[in-house]
Amino acid sequence: MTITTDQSTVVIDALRAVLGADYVVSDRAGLGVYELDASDEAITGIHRPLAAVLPETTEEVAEVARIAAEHDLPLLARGSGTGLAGGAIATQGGVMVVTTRMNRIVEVNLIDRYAVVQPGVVNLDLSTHLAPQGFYYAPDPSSQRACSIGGNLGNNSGGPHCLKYGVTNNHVLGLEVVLPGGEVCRFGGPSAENPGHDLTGLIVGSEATLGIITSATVRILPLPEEKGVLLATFESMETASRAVSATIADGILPSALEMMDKVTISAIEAGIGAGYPRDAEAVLLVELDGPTQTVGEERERVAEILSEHGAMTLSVAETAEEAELLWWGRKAAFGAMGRLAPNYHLTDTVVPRSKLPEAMQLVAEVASDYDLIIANVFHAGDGNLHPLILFDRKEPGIMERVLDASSVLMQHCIDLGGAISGEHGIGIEKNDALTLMYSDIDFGEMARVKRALDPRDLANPGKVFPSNFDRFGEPLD
Amino acid sequence: MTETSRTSHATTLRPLNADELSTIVGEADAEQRTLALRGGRTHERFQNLGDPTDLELDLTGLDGIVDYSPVDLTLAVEAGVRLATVDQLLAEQGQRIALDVPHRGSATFGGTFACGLSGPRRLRYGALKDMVIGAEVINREGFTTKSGGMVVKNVSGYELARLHYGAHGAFGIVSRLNLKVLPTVESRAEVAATYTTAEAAAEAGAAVLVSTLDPAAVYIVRSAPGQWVLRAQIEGSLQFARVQLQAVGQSLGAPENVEYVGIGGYSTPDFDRVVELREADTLVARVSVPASRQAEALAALDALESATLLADMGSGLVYVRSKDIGPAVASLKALGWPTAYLALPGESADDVDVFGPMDEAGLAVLRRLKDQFDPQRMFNPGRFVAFL
Ligand SMILES: Cc1cc2nc3c(=O)[nH]c(=O)nc-3n(C[C@H](O)[C@H](O)[C@H](O)COP(=O)(O)OP(=O)(O)OC[C@H]3O[C@@H](n4cnc5c(N)ncnc54)[C@H](O)[C@@H]3O)c2cc1C
Ligand SMILES: Cc1cc2nc3c(=O)[nH]c(=O)nc-3n(C[C@H](O)[C@H](O)[C@H](O)COP(=O)(O)OP(=O)(O)OC[C@H]3O[C@@H](n4cnc5c(N)ncnc54)[C@H](O)[C@@H]3O)c2cc1C
Repeated sequence: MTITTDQSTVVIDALRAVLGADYVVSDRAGLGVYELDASDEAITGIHRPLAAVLPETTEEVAEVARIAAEHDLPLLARGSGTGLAGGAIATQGGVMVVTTRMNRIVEVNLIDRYAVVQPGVVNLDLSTHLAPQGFYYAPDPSSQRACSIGGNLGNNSGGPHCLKYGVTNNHVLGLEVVLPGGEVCRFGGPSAENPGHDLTGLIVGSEATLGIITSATVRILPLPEEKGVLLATFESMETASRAVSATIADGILPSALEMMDKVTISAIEAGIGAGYPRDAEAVLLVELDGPTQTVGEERERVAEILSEHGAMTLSVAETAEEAELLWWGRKAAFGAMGRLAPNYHLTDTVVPRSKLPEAMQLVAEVASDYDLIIANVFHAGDGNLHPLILFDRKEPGIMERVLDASSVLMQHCIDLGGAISGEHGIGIEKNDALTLMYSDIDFGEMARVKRALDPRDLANPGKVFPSNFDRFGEPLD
Repeated sequence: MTETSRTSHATTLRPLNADELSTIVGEADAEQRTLALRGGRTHERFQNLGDPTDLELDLTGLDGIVDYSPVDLTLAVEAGVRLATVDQLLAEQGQRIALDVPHRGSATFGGTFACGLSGPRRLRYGALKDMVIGAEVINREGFTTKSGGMVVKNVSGYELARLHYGAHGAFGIVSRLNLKVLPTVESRAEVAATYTTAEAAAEAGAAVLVSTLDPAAVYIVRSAPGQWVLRAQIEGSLQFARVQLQAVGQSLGAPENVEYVGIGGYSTPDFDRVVELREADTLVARVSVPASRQAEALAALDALESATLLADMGSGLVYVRSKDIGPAVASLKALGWPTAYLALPGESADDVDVFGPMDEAGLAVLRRLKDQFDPQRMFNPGRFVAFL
């Protein structure tokens, strides 16, 4: 999108008239923080929006949307910018709505188990706010200290506890959405079922390509009475993977079931020294939650299953502090990778749980074929892999090798009956890879949704749909 | 393919697989013919009257189990598969699907998905939409389109299954659903406590909902005038059920009124009775009222003496069943909470949108979606929200 200086002055003035000059960022220095998100800039690039705006209310967002539409400019949404797929990057310029100031928890209703929040509320802040009342918000991306609920909704984010509780979309009861033309729609509500037709679940996960969420009614839950944590080590990733399958197949649904490989363990130990056994090839972290009674029974059963499936050592946390300690290493894993290499590329893919042993073998083969070090730290319980390809960007030609390896990994996972992303979204990182999963006709169906909500293709253009989509017979007009 | 009947208004076609279904839809599109979609026909009354159609499509011939992986707890079924068939298949592997669907021998997965309803155990297990991990839909051109897959976690473009959930086929015909299933539970139990006011029953229910107790369902039924029964259902291991049963009972207070239906099970006769839709002269309404406001709503509806009243606290829904159509409709209007009619007999039904009121801007979006997905109004014409 190219626009003249005159035009941009007009747009910026109009935005200032709505929001006040303080909340319209349009200078080069100020826009610096909005040029990137947490995706790999070597893939997604650095892109500056025409302006970033910080509204406080739905009405202001609607006004901003009208101004953007009037000037035919892209309309983007950004929460905390921790997205890993480039969803919040202004690849075609335009006006970026940053939700940082829309951070109010509007209503909490414990009996009805819902909270109404503005999109800029930080994920963890909601649970922290609810904790004194004995409640919490279940979806917990590892980035929860920073990421916003609006971003979670945009990406339909997951997290370690989504194994038992489901991803973001399973926790949303209603939404208020500003469409690219500035209309404000409401879907769903505090009840589980509402009159008319509920489009809430369609908007979640649409990565701001259908509109901007300005309020969400989310489900909240009573904090579990008890948590139990076990940590087991294994002599290979395959045996650990089999133990995962066996646990699930036994009918136990842990609240989290996380796996780490030797590379990850050595990074963690070099980084923070969490006390994980360095000689183990694989570590499984299992968390159970619920009434004290159930947790006690399940903890015993899981310990049995893990032992039967070749656990070399088994630690069971007796206190909350001990549990915290067992989790500590897992939580520090991504950060600790810096100990091993300056950069990493994360490929977020999924396979059916029973295919984990094969998937682990394939990851090891790709690492050796491409002469790369790949660390594995992932949500094993739902088959959601996170191979982290470690590299040094300064090495000539390395980026190409990393990306090739990543593509091969995605293809392998699809061949095993899986998918190209478990939770991090599509954005501009995986939009072309989506063609591995879907046909032109499938994209045609998605395009029908896009045309109904955003006929002028102004909402976060260029995201999700494959870049050659115009050639798919049903171009976006 | 079998042609099962020919009546004055419609020919019924019964495709036996998705390919036959595709062909029928493709031809209907080319010839501009309209289609009425039928599953197990248990919920035929839950739709607007709509226009007569050229063809009736009986989808019960799509009755194949496509894939079942017990170790992965995943299952793929064709849309015409009956719930009872799946219950049996899963039970053999010690698994189940936790849906409170009545008439399981008749109801199909496609029809259940297209209706988008759900019973009181939604509190613990979520609705069918939360169990669906992938879907295939035949679009208006007769093409098979897919979204999601066979993995339990998946972000890959728009969640199209959520568009079709509860859409009564308005945007396409569901041909296949991929589901996550659950292990069976060792035991079921129920605590029931009777109160003289709706307020007292709701208060007791609310205490359970804000506690760390873990019931599968919590609802209130009016069993007789001045008798409000709060039921809390419990599912889990035997030990768990025992402990929860005691704890829930204690939290309900007034022990002389507490009845332990006890270990060994519960059934949902009250619930099944309220939502039985096959009696032609009966109204069944679903009112969206959050649990914390249900006592007021029940008190206001108490005047409907012959009606059955049930408040599903865990889902924020109140159900009213009555043969006195006029007074029931009047009371529901006066109540003012958003109401949908799962069944509405009589002439009034002709111009009432049974799906109830929807946000105006949201409805505009819905119309645009219908224009995109079914511009010729081929699928169930006039039967969906706002007579779309
Ligand atoms: C260290 C680290 C760990 C992570 N761990 C996890 C994890 O465990 N699980 C997981 O799922 N993700 C994880 N992520 C990815 C990321 O944190 C999530 O995708 C998160 O939900 C993004 O939130 P955000 O506020 O940063 O969104 P942003 O990056 O600002 O935006 C993400 C997307 O949502 C859209 N969006 C933002 N606000 C709105 C709105 N109001 N309305 C509509 N669309 C909107 C944006 O346009 C963009 O497409 C991790 C990231 C990092 C850096
Ligand atoms: C209050 C209540 C509680 C219930 N509890 C639950 C529950 O816990 N969970 C749950 O999920 N459901 C629940 N149900 C829903 C109900 O059981 C289903 O709606 C029923 O099973 C319908 O199936 P059927 O095959 O008889 O559909 P039919 O009566 O044949 O059809 C119903 C509608 O679906 C359309 N349709 C049928 N098949 C298809 C298809 N393949 N593609 C597109 N459209 C189609 C029809 O055109 C019609 O509009 C409950 C129902 C009630 C009233």
